[in-house]
Amino acid sequence: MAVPTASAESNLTIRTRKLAQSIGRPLFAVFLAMIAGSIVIMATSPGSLLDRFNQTIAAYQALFTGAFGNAQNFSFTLTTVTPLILASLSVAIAFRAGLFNIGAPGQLAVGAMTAGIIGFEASKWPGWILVPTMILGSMLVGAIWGGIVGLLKAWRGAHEVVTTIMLNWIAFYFTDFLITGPFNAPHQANQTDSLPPQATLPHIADFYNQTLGTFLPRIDQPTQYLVDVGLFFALLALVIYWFITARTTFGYEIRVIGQNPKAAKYAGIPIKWNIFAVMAIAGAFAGLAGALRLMGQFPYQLIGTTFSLDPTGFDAIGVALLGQTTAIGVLFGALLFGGLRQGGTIMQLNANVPGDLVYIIQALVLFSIAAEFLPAIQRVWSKRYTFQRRTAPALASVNATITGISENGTTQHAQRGAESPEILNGDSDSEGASTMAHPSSEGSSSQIEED
Amino acid sequence: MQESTIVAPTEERETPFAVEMRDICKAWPGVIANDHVNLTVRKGEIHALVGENGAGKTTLMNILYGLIRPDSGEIFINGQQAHITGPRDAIRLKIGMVHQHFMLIPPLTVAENIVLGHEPGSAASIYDVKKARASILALSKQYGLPIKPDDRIEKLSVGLQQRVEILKILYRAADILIMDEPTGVLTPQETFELFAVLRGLVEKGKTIIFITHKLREVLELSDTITVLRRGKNAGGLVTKQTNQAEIARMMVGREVLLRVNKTPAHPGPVVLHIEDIYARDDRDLEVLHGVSFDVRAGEILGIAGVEGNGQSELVEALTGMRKITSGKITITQVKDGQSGRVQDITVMNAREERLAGLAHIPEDRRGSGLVIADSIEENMILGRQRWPQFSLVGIVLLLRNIEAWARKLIKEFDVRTSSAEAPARSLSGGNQQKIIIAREFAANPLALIASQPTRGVDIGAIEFIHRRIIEQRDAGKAVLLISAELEEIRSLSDRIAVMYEGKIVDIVSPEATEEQLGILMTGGHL
Ligand SMILES: Nc1ncnc2c1ncn2[C@@H]1O[C@H](COP(=O)(O)OP(=O)(O)OP(=O)(O)O)[C@@H](O)[C@H]1O
Ligand SMILES: [Mg+2]
Repeated sequence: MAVPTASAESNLTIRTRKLAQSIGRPLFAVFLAMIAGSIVIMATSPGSLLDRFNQTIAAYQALFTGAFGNAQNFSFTLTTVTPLILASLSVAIAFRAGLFNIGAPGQLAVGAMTAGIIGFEASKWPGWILVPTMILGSMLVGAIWGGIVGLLKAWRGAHEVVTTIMLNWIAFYFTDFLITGPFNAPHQANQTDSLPPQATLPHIADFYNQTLGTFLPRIDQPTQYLVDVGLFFALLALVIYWFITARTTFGYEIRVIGQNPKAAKYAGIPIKWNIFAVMAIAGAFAGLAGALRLMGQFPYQLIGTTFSLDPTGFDAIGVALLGQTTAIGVLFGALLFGGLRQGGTIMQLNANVPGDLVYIIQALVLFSIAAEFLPAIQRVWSKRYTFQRRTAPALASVNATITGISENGTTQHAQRGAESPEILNGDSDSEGASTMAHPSSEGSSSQIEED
Repeated sequence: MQESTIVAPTEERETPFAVEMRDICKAWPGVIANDHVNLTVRKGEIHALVGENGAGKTTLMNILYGLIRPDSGEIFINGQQAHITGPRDAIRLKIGMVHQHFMLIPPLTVAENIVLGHEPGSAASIYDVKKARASILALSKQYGLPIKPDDRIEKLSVGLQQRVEILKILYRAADILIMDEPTGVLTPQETFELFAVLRGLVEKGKTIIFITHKLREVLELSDTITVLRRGKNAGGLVTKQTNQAEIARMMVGREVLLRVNKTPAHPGPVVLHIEDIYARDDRDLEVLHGVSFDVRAGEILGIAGVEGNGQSELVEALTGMRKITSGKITITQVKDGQSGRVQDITVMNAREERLAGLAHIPEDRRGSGLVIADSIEENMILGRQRWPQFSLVGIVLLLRNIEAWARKLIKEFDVRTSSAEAPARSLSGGNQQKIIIAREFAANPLALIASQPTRGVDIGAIEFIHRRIIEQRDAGKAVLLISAELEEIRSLSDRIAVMYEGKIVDIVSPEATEEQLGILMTGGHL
């Protein structure tokens, strides 16, 4: 009897809303964290109110310049961003299946270790065989490390948070043992040899000068730009991640598993196999992160106890959450967190503000994402707003057109086709209201939004 | 009823209305759920709120209970203007609501659930178990609602859980009770008991607003009726002066077929063959004790039975969602009235069974039939995502095809939505069901297993779904229908299998009377 109007415009508005939501929330979280951070600086620095204010501005200026201010600093930031992107993808893809992968640090450690071992053992191989072997080897071992978690989860029901944490410590101690034991460099304490030169990745600037630079303008002083070609692998991984999650049946199936395991069973999705596969892929991403950092950056060697102190795998959880597990979100999240880390050092040097501020900001970003401040504020705000606004006249005018149309007999369902901006945007608290109306359904999946 | 909304302000009335909602408007993105809706309910009456799926009933009641803020409009409770900004305000005004989906906490006891948020206790706010138990027992006696305060919710039947919800409201001293589709999940017996309870409450001076899709219940229980259509008032009725056909017409805006029109079946060869299957339930107790039957091409076999006699487990066993301990299930292709290839689907999972030609409408749509956070498009391929028309060699999704497919089904099955990309959650209950029906019917299966296909959907949609099921039959599919509604089973089926305690006790013709079926369903013999 009715003619539903699934029109292109309303698809567009839905997409726009989704986009606005997926960008709006993280941006707002960052904004809030920056404000809170400035309060911390103002509270802790000496002098008059104006002094304190200037100090805050100076600190943020230093932070920004340190992270992104010039090509040199930016390229230094990118060296942190490369492994962070990959580790975040590891966390993000597990999130899609409803799994909380705390295991990125351990997967990263075994990946780096594997690349190192291959590099040392096959040090006579030419680079064009050695480098791919190291990369693939690290991904494979990372996949096994993650896959174990998947196996235990799928077939034994062991909770992934517990098993990943345990496997992290096993990875840390085992790599330490290898670094200080069998692979310890002669006459050196607590570290391995450096990788053979053909096993390392060139810096992008050098790489450019040797390839395109032979006929295009060359980069001056390439050694000051530290970022290596590993970045390209990370960017490629982002594209692959996007493709897997948005364009494949596997991505579809893990999302169903993550959101409604019963529906997955109803659909006949091989839940166990998919859980194993998603954890293996997660491990491969993180393993690659470890290998690329070892191969791409000075000192090109493995040093004991670094893995357990390395924040990358844990920052990755924040990045994945901040980026709402989308590829583009992870990219920006990694840039932000990587930038904060590098900029923090500069800020400490130049503005004399403790670099720890960066940790405070990071924590606040995560906190405000987790607490969903933005939807809450939207809700309150729109309540106020609707009190004064009174949408009734707007509705009435639309109704008038609807009746007009239906009386002509052209369509009975003009109201669903009515693309009036008042109606579509009229209710910014729909999200909040539905949260209240269906607490069971909303709450569980709110962390893992769709892209 | 209708005219009463236009008359003079309430202050001048002798006895004010218990509830008066005036000019309520509420728009969701792309949909106007309530469009200048008026609702008036007298004190001490049972008021039925009816309308098609998506007419805005739940939205209106959520507004009254403070869960949703209206865009505009006014609410008066007992003649006083009320500003309801949240359930807290509603509770203070003695309004209570039993939701379409229960809001109980399964591991807690009955008593704990009832007093939650209003626990009796000392100043040090220590939860006083004894006091809670006592007041609940007193309440339960006062209103004739027997319950054991120490039982855990998860152990209770749906009917008893609902009783707990009602007691929870009464514990908070509500005078106005909103019941959103309370009978949707109940067995006929439980419904009967609920009605007795509600009548008792009205005698004690309570006012009840009652949402249902079953017109029989409207006539049986209510005093007055408000009909909503597409978010607007379609009219008010006094129950004594109306009939099913009139209400139906008002709801849908046209004549509705309340009876199923069908021609005699022309059964072909056996398609679905079930041989002596045994299975265990979630608690590892045997629930199916040797079930055998056949469903032929071009016939509808209905399964009648009191809920909990193994029907759910039978469906799960047939659809690859539950392992069976022994027995055999086969599905046979039919071509030009002749049997073709026979496939043993006993040990297949749900995906493989779908490939073999089985379609399944699950009884619990939000639980297993849909991923409510996902878009309609994505839900339209659930279970068939690896089929060649939706993915390249089962790996890469063909988004264009999926979108086209979803649009086609939305149109064909009249799913009311603003967009194919809207999340399934944003649709009303009946339209969510239509997504599943569309998906399963459109896949051109050999056999169709429909479990409670019209639960919670409006009469227009019921008519529509029934017609589609018969269409499937006439197209030569084998249809297995499981329903708690005897009415539905009797009017649709060509044969009725009666299930009792995990066995098929008899297979009878649809001419069997309700009494005869009733006897069989409770373990008797004809
Ligand atoms: N949270 C929401 N976001 C967007 N749209 C919504 C939301 N809730 C309801 N709607 C829309 O509002 C309309 C009215 O929905 P409502 O749930 O009130 O219908 P209903 O009369 O209760 O239907 P049913 O009988 O199926 O339960 C529907 O078109 C529905 O799609
Ligand atoms: Mg409803």
